[in-house]
Amino acid sequence: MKRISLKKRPFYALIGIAVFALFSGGRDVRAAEINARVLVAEELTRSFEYDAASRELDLAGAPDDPDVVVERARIELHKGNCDAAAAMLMRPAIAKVERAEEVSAIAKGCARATAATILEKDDAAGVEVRFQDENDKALFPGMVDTVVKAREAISRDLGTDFPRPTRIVVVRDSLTLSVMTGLPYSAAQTTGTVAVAKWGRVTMISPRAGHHGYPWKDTLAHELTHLAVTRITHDHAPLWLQEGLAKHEESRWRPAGPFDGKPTPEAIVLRGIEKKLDLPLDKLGMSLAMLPSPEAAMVAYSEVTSFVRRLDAQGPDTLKKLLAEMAHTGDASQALQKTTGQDLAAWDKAWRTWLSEQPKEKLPSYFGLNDDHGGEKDLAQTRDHARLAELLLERKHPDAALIELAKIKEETFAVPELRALRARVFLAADKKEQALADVNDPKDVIAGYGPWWAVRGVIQRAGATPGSAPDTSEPSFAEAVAQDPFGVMSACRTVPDAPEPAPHAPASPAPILDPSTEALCQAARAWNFLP
Amino acid sequence: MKKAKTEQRGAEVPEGLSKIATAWREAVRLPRLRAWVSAWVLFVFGAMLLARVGTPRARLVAFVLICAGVALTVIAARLERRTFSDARRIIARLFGKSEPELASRAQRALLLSYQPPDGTSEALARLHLSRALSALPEEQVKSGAKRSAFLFGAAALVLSAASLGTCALRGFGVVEGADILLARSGRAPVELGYLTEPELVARPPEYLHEPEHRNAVYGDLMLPNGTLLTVRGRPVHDGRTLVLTDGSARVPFFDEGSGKLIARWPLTATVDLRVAAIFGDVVIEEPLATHVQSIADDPPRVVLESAPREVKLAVDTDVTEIPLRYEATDDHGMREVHLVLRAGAKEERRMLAKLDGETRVDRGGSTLRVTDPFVKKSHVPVFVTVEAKDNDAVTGPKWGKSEAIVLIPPSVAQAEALRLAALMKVRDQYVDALARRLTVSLPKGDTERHQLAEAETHSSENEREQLDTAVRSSYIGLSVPKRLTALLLTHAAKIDKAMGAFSRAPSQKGFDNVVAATEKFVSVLDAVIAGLAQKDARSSAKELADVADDMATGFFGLEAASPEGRPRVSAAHSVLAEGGAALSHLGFLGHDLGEITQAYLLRIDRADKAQDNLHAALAARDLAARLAVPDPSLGSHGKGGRPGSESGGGSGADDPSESPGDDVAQAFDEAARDLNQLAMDHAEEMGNVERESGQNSPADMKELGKDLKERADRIRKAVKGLPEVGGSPESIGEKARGAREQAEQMAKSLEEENVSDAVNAGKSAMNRLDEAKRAAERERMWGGDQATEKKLEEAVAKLEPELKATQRMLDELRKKAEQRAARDLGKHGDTEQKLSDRMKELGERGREKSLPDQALRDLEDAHDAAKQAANAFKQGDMKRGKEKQKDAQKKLEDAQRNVGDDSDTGNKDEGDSRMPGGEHADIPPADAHKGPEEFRRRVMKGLAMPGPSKEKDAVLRYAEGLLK
Repeated sequence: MKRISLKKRPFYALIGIAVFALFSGGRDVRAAEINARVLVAEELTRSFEYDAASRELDLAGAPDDPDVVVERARIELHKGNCDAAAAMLMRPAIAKVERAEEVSAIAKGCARATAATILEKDDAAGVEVRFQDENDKALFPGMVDTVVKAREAISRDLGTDFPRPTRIVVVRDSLTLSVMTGLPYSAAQTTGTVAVAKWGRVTMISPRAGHHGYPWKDTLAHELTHLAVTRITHDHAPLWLQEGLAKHEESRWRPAGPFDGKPTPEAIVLRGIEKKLDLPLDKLGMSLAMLPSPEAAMVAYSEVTSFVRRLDAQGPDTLKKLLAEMAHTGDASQALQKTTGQDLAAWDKAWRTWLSEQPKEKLPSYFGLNDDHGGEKDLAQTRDHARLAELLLERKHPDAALIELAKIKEETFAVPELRALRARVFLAADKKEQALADVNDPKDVIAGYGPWWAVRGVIQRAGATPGSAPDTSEPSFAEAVAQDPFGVMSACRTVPDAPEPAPHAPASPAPILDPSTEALCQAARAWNFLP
Repeated sequence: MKKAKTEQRGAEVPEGLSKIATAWREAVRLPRLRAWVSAWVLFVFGAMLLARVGTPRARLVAFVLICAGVALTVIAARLERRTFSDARRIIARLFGKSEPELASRAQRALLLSYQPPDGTSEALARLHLSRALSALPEEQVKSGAKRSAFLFGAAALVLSAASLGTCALRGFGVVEGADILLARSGRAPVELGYLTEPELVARPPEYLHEPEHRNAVYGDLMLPNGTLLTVRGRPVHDGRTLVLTDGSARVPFFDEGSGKLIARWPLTATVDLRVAAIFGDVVIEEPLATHVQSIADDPPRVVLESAPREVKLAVDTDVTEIPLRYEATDDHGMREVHLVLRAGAKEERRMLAKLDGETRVDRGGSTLRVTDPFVKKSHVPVFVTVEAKDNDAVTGPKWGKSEAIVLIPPSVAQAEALRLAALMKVRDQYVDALARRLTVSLPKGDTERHQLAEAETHSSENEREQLDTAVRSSYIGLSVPKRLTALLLTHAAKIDKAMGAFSRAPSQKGFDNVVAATEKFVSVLDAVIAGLAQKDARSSAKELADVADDMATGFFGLEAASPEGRPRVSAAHSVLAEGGAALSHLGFLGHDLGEITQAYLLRIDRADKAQDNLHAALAARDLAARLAVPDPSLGSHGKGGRPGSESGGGSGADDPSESPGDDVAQAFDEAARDLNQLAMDHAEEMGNVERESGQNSPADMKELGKDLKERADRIRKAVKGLPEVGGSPESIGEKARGAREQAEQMAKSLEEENVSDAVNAGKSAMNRLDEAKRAAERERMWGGDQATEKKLEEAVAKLEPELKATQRMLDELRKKAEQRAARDLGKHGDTEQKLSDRMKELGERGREKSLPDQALRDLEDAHDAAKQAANAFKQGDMKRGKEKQKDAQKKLEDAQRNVGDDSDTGNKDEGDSRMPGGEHADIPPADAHKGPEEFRRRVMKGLAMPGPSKEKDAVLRYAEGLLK
């Protein structure tokens, strides 16, 4: 079925009304007109065309009509005016309207969660960020930088523009994420969802909510992709396309990192197929955040990532053309057919065939998809020794901590948490060479981890000598902040509890930080050393 | 110009005409004046009588009528003057009707004299006028004047007579009318007398038990508030509605039948009472008033020893309870004395004494533990007062309250943070010891090895001492949960054991064992700390959620201009600020939630500063919503792995509080839970044996049915003379009432065929009767009531044989029941055997899961005793079986105690807990389920059993409060 262009919808809506009027003998023409304009306004709002949506509602000429009020509230909600939206929907007559239910719940939750919060703006960059926890505002410069770069990359790759300002709300926890977006709290907890792009904005959880943060910059780029795809397709893109494109774009705004695509999505999908965790592309449900387990979500993400990668491999502008076609047809399979000559079913079949031909890659148990129950005792012992080493390090007993770490099997140190810990212990024991060896090569670890990058940066910085050995720590710290911005080592670029230097050792120079890094460092210190 | 001149001339009255007019006026003036005055008097009387109706309309009409009369008089006088100053009007008035032609000619002549026609001289005109006037008949005027004078005189006479008649019949009414007409604000200006032979009788309120007395009227009186004043008197004027009034309220007089009127005035305040007559909306009061001063019933005066004072619970850690000794006095009598606890908007009242309303002095005492749930749950200052309620039935009971003892509780999570800090300090000590033991090289020489062993043993003892101190200390009323203490001590004992072995034989293997035991202990302690921190963080957050919610309510109150708003907000703010800071020390979750609390307070403060109460309230509610769900901010329910996210890039959050040693703690907890279950199952089996051995057969009961009912009737009759209502707890009346209540319970139990309960209740009744008798003997020395003593003796004499007979009946029934139960003993033997096996199995498992040694020994003993009980049952020896069963149960309970009670976590308030058994159990309300009702009944009955009487009343009151 061919979809009608959004710009032509008011015209067709009016024709529809006229036809309806003709056949209904003029009865209920007014109601039909209002209804048609309300539907058009809703669609315009979902495409972030707020002025056009408002005009449409004005033309409806029924400011007190419940449906019109709901759509006006939706527009206000998209613009970030939660109080106004909630106030509009408080009238009892409005509350009874079915379409008001979701908007009303979100408006109320949003009004509560954003009450008396601070709003940071960068008008030049067209970015607005509301922080539920104002201690997070140190993230603002990094967010603006990410948004600007990600918008550029996404526009380039997908052929869309972004309405300004780009609105972001940084919330403090999963509960607020749920309240602000409508994602069920249990689902948010089950899959560990950290961000949602809905209601015209990106709502993301502060990195301080996790023990060592999460890749918040990539997450932001991922969510911005969702906004872009929603805009292009008028929110009609299927889930596989939405998530596949978002995964594809989440790392394209920045130079490639050593952990991008590690492990490969294909390895995860193949393991998922073995564990019967895979789902057909068109049966992923309403949201990947609502899948029954984090493992299922991981497999689903990998499926869509791998699939979109295959599409992208067809040619430089395949994705752009696909989205452009989607804007017209509104049907992904038809758009695929037009763009590539094959529909979704054919593509799915081809992709699965290709997948089965890929060499089998061993997936580390770190990712939770292995069945190695026999290793549980080893895992428990590893945890025991690692924790004891951590406690010994805290009490400034690095030599004893090394003895504990020596009880752990060497191959286990591919886990970045363990390797970062050992590097810190080496550093504390003044064994810089061993410390550097532990963090020198990203290939030694199986995944990115903020503190690992931070230790790496600190060691690289310590090894730098003016004139002879240049300071190569900056990329490591950048990676560390991109994952764990509120770690003191990441933000302040120093070891918070470094032992006193030896009497004859040259004193390490205090890091000189730029203002935004300094602000982040202060926030990190405040967070780690709460009164 | 010419016309003006003519009119001017017209005003001149020719001399001849003037003489006639004067003659007429003189003849008529006096009679006419009399008639006019008489009419006026009558008119005013009428108006006054109209005004006397008293309604605003009647008063207005009367006033208007009088004004109209005055206006009429003035107009008439003016018209008269005008008529007799104009010659033409005089002619018209005097001759117009009697001699119209002559009058007309005279007027023409008069006109010609003013305006002579052309050619006519003025002299001729005047001559013509003179002739015309002289033609007027003067005599006729005079006779007419006489006739008018006569008529006026007659009218005056009639009107005067009417006035006099009115005056005679309604003279006082006219006076009242005038008074009422001049009334202002419904009160007449002139006071008038309405009642003669007045008398006043005062009857004080019933609860004062004072006789009524007569008092002088129109004087100053002082009477208790609530006195009923009765005023009698003979009315001076009939037909008036009389009332007794204090100026605002009115009580009507009504006819007593003897020609006197009576009114009753309940005294509720100091008043000036007057008699008054009511006319419509106006009252005319009597000139004399009776001033009655009301003597108020003072509220009770309560003195609480050592109040006012402040107790800072976080500082005064030695204070575990607050003794509360009070003395309450009242001028007439008191009904209740309460201990009142107030914190913020919350209030809790606890009955300290229920009195008879006659007691004027009550002294008593109680203690308030700092661990009291109200104090523990409160995070704002708790105001402790003792309040007494008097018996004022007139204005309603009044409360008198003492000065307050203010308990300043520690902030939320402060105690938990202290407890955690103490455990962390111990962990640090053990980590240091572990570091030392890990890095030290075992010397080769025996002497050096022994020296090392000695040093390590000494160090180990120090660490153990610190551990003992930490687990046995109280942290602002909070202790380390017993189960965790048991777990830690068990693992610490393993270090001691390893250390002992190493000291005896200092080998490398022995030292490795010491290191391994230390490692294990550190892991377990770390897990305990992590688990406790998380649990404490959750429960503290929930407490703070309530406070945040209260703060939101405060802001909404501020928005509605409620005076309670600001104090509520301020109190909540300080609690949240301090609590948030303390919370942040409770592990990772506490750190997370503590930061949220502090960050959200910044939002709230910003809105508050901007006087934006609505947003401040919303932010407070946001905080409340967050703290009410104290999950980690970013958590995954999934197990292991790297949870995905909507972004796909998130690594999710590991739960850092999940410490490695958790496995050990969980295994220990599992074993402890099994032990609890086993103890419960064994207790249930004991109950089964007991019930079956004491179960009466329906046949036996049927046989006794009639006898039971008759005995119940006799018991009721025996205590019929005892009072149904008691007095103060130590009074004879109260004890006698208690005895009656228990005797009636005995009768009821008999009717319900529950002979065992009946015997218990009967014993309790007898016990109370003894107490009452002893109290009565003491009172006798002071001239006590001999009638009561006699009634008590009669009750004892009748009840005692009934109780003995019932006891015999019970013994007989039990014997029969045991004989029947003996047939099923084999079945109980099997069950007991199974339980014994479970005890053995748990003991073996417990050894692996590090249950404390003492608990393991208790389990062994329990196993032996249960095995013997099983054998005894199988052999048909019920008595021995039951004894051994009891021994087994006791040992199981000892084991439970040594493992740590399941319900005890050392915490003041349990939220959800990671440790099993931490679930909150709601106590069902009285009407929720029959089970609780049965439980209440059993507790009350149990409390009624014979026992030391010293604390019985207090215990009973406590139980009553507990079971409400």
